[in-house]
Amino acid sequence: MPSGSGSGSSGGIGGRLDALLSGLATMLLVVAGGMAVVGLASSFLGGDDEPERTDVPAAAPIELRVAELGIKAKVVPIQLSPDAVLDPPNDPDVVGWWDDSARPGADTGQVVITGHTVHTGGGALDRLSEEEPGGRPIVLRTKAGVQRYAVTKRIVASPEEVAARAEKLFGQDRREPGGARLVLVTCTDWNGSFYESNVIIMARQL
Amino acid sequence: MPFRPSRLFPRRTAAVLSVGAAGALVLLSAVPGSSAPVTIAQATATGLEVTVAGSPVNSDTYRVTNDGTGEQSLGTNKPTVRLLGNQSFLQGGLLAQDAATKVTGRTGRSVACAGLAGDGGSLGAVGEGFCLRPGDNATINAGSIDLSKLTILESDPLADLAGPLDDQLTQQLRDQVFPQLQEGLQQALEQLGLNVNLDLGAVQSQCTAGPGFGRGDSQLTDAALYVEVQGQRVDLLRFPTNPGPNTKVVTNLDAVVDQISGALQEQLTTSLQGALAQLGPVAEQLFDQLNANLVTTLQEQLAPLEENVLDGTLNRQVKRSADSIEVTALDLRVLPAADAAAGFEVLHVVVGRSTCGPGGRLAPEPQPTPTPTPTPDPKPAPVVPTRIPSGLADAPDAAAPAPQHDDLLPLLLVGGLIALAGGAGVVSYRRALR
Repeated sequence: MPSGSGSGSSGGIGGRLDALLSGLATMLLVVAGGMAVVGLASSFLGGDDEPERTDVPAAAPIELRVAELGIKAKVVPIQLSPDAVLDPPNDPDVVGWWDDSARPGADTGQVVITGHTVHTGGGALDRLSEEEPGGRPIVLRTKAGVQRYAVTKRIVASPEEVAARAEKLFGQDRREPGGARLVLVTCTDWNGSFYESNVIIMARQL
Repeated sequence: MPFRPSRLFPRRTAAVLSVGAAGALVLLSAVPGSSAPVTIAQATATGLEVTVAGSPVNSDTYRVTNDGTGEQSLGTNKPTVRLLGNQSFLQGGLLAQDAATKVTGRTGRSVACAGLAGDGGSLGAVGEGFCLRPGDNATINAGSIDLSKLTILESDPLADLAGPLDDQLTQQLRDQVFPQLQEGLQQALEQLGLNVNLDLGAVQSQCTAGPGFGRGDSQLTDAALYVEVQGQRVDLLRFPTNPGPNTKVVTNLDAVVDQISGALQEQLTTSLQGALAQLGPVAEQLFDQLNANLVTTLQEQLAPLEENVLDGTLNRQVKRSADSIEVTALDLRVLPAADAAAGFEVLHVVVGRSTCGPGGRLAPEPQPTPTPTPTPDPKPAPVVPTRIPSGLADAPDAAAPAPQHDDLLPLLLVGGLIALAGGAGVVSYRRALR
């Protein structure tokens, strides 16, 4: 029996090692299969890769992304009120595109988009005031494809200044060689009770 | 003395006139009360218009109007080259002219697009920017230069000849040599008939107008103007693809004058040598002198072609009011100076003319009030935002941030996967131990 017990003893250690390896192999197989499924699921749900812009026709925007500020918001059309007030959508997660402004990809005019900044957080454009010229492109998904914009200017203006310069800031007669300019607007300068200014980001189409 | 109706103004006539006048007054007083429909949006589109010698031929302009009750249209938005009738300036090609209106918030808006592309081009929808995609190139014959009207022998070719000619030789030159010379040159001129052609992939304009704005643009894809001289293409102009508003282009025909001169001088030499051969020994001396005279005449005749004869405007934009615009992709005109020069047919080619606006706003719905009071004029529609209140102290409850389904799903999947792998490993380990 010594030989039997000897073989049993060595078989016990070997058996445990085999079992361990078998278990590990099974885990790895499951992980590998699962990663493939996750990868497929991610690609179906839409990753962050943007298709290359090839002459995308003008179309209404549906999503705004400012990657370095973590801004990613749905875009819906909004209308100007009879007294010339452009109110963003009620839902602060969503931003609004003035439907009388240019569509992204248009040759002329300006694409005017506005969204809320919420003092306690949760607004789609809470961090827009941090945007500066020279950063990564702003991306607008439209019904026809993707348009990209490079920030050229950041303006902070009081409501009175905005009203006085409204035609220049948001007018639709503007014509630029690269196509319609993007104008992003939200509020800034919280004074403890309300926001005192607008921050306006100008970006040229790439 | 009692009033008696005269024979010129009998009682019955007076009565009829009275009734007529009263009726007219009733009608006139009723007019202000009638509410005629008001156009609040309008647009037109014309693919191509060519005016030859003052007679325009076009692709039957498509026109839409909207008075708030719906859109009315006139003309066709599916034009074909056949619409241009029996003409020779354009063979084949794809014409586009379309326009549309809509009423949003009681305010009218309009869009239009018009142009011409070559065969194989395709059409897009109006309102989506430009509506033509180019295919093969189309060619418009933009005019012909009739050189047969040049009169090379108009002046006296014998003027300023060195040394007197005897009467017999002079008579022989006038009776025999010059008629032969004239005939030879005339044939050469007729064979040199020149066509000025417009070659294009797609030339088009588009516009849009609404309250307080009217804007538009033009695009000329692969478009050029050229002349064919003895089968050779001589380019006069190559148009920019995206010209700025009201870009002027002017050109002359100096590039082709050299070729015309060369061809005529060759013919002149041949004709002159043939005609003078019969004059014997004096022929050589006469040839040099006559040749110099005739070449000078020829150059004088062609000189006007070196002045500006073709005048074009690209992306022509005319704003008659803040809420209207007319955009013409290409407006090419042959200047009358050319007609005087060499019988150049006066011609005017317009490709892709779109007009949008002016528009308007529907009056507010009438409010049923017991005592009607005059309602103030509706405020003009604002043009641009003057206030953008986009800051909140707190997020509304309804807008509490919801988990992003597409952001969390991959994380959940990976988490589940690790748990599953761990479980599978443990089970496998236990089984192997048995």
